[in-house]
Order: sequence, then C-alpha cells, then structure tokens
Amino acid sequence: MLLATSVWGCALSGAALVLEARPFFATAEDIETLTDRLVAQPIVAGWSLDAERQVLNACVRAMKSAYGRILPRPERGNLTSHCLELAEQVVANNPSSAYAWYVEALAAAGDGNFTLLSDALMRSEQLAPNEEWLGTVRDELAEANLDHLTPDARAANDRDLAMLVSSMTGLAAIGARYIRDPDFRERIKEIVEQLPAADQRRFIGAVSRAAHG
Amino acid sequence: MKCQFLVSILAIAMILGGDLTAVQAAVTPATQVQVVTQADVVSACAKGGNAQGCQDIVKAFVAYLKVSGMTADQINKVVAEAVQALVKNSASLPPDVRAVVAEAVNVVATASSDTQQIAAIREVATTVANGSFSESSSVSSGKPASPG
Repeated sequence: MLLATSVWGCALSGAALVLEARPFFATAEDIETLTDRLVAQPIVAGWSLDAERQVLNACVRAMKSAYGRILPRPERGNLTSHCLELAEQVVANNPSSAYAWYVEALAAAGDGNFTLLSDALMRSEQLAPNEEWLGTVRDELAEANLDHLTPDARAANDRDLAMLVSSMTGLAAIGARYIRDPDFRERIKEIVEQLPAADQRRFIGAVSRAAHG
Repeated sequence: MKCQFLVSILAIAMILGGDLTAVQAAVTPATQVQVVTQADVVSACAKGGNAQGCQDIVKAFVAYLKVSGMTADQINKVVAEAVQALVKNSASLPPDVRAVVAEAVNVVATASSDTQQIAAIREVATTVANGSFSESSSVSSGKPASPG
C-alpha cells in the first residue's frame, strides 16, 4: 500500500514537473519553432504564476513577431485562437492578471473580435493603471485599432497615455510620437491639458528634445 | 489503295505531331522550370550577392512554386517561411543589402494568394528597407502585472 502510494506520488510529481517545465522550454525555442507549435496545438498554462507568465509571453512573442504576422490565414487563425484560449484560461483562474487581459485583447484583435478587444483592454487598464510597461504595450495595441475601440476603451487608452506622460521612459516615447505622427498631436494635447502644470512642462520639454533629435 | 494508305498515315502522323507539339508546349513550363529552394533564395539575396542575381533567383523561385503542384495554402505557407528566412537576420545587414532583401521579399509575396498575408509581407519589407525591422517582442522581458 505504501509502495503504491509512493509510486503514485512520484508519477504525480513527474507530471507536475513536466507541466511546469514545458512553458520554459517552449519560450526558449526560436520564433519559427515556437510559432509553428502554437499554430499546431493550444498551449497549456502551468500551475505557477511564473509558468503562466512564460506561456503568455510565448503567445505575445509569436503574435507580435514578423513571422506570426506573415503567416497565411489558416495558420494565423489557429495562432490567435489558441492564444485566446490560453488567455481565457488564465483569466478564468486569475481574473486579476492584467497581463492576461492584455494578451486576450491582443489575440482578440488578431481574431477581428473588436468588442472583446475593447473589453479586455479596459479590464487590463483597470487592474494595472500604473504599470508603465503594460501601459506602453496596451497603448500600442489601442493605437493600431483605434477606429474599432468603444468609447470606454478609448477613455482607458487616454488614461494610459496620461500615465505614460507622467512617467520617465513613457514620456520620451510620447514626445517622439508627437513629432512623428501628426494625427496623434491633437489627441495627446487634449490629454496633457488635463494634467498638472508640472507634467505639462515635462511634456513640452520631451517634445522639444524629440524635435531636436 | 496503297498510296491512299500512305497519305492517311502521313496525315495521322502530322496530326499526331501537331498534337504532340501542342501537348509538349503545355507541359514544357512545368518540366523546364528549375527547382529553386528557399536556401537558394537566401543564399543569393541575404548574403550580399548582387541585386540582379537575387532577382533572377527569386523570380525562378516564384515560377517554381506556381508549377510545383502544391495547393494554394501550401504555397502561402512556403511563402511565409521563405520571407522569414530572408528577413531573419536583416537588421545586421548594410543598407544596400537590406534594399535587395526588401525587394526580394516583395517579389516572393507575389506567389501568395492571401491578400492579408501579402499586405503583412509588404509591411515587413518596408521595415527591412528602412532598417527598423525587429523580430523580438517588446514585452518578452515584461514583469507580471498581476497583483494576485
């Protein structure tokens, strides 16, 4: 009886080890192998938060890669739907994961599901309004799909932009974008006008630095 | 009678000859197209070869794909793999070679039947040409944002 329990325990431990280790091996692959694997079959989230983050990273890496974007329609569809399944699985277990909501938004955009894109972007912003790196990638995604966002999702994107203007690295990127993208200027001007005077001065400084290269 | 027979044979031979020529003409492009692999394309274009040599190989590659007997979906997948192989290390190339690679990528795209794929490939070609192509994801080093 004791022996059977030990064997059963070892088997369970081995299975857990394989499940946990798989995402780490997956993320170490080159982009083509990783993407083709995600196209071929859904990826399973591990049990730990770290394993969960690794598989979400794998999906983001594949969906945002040049190879992921130039795949033909059937493969691209499989990639986004498998990543959407993964993100849904993670948010079902951990609804406070702002990163998982972002991955869901990214996959929804690839799937052309703009209602879900808006909803997931908003949830991610609500859960992590001050995470600069996450605000940056959310803004990138929102910007690429601006015409498809609901008014509430656009408002969430405005809050991300305000947060980025108030940050150090985000400010430089926004200043550069102000110079580069004329369509962006009016929008960011309206957002900055609502910020404290000190942030407004920092923004003008960033735009000036970007303008002078 | 004998003469009539010979004339008939000659007529049949001419008809057959004509038909064979026609059949041969139809088959020739498939049988005479040179087999060009993805490795040939990368070797000719992404390793500093001359622009004309690259163009010739890429055009031959596209011509080969069209007569290869593959389905449209299979060709589209090969196109994606070929473009990826071409652009993968393009960031480290000098501008003149990047321009050659970008042009090659645009030619490879013509073999695809997927309009979205073609558009995505053209975007990639533009980033290769202007030196802003990057394969790495901007969030690969991201920390978990979840408080829970």
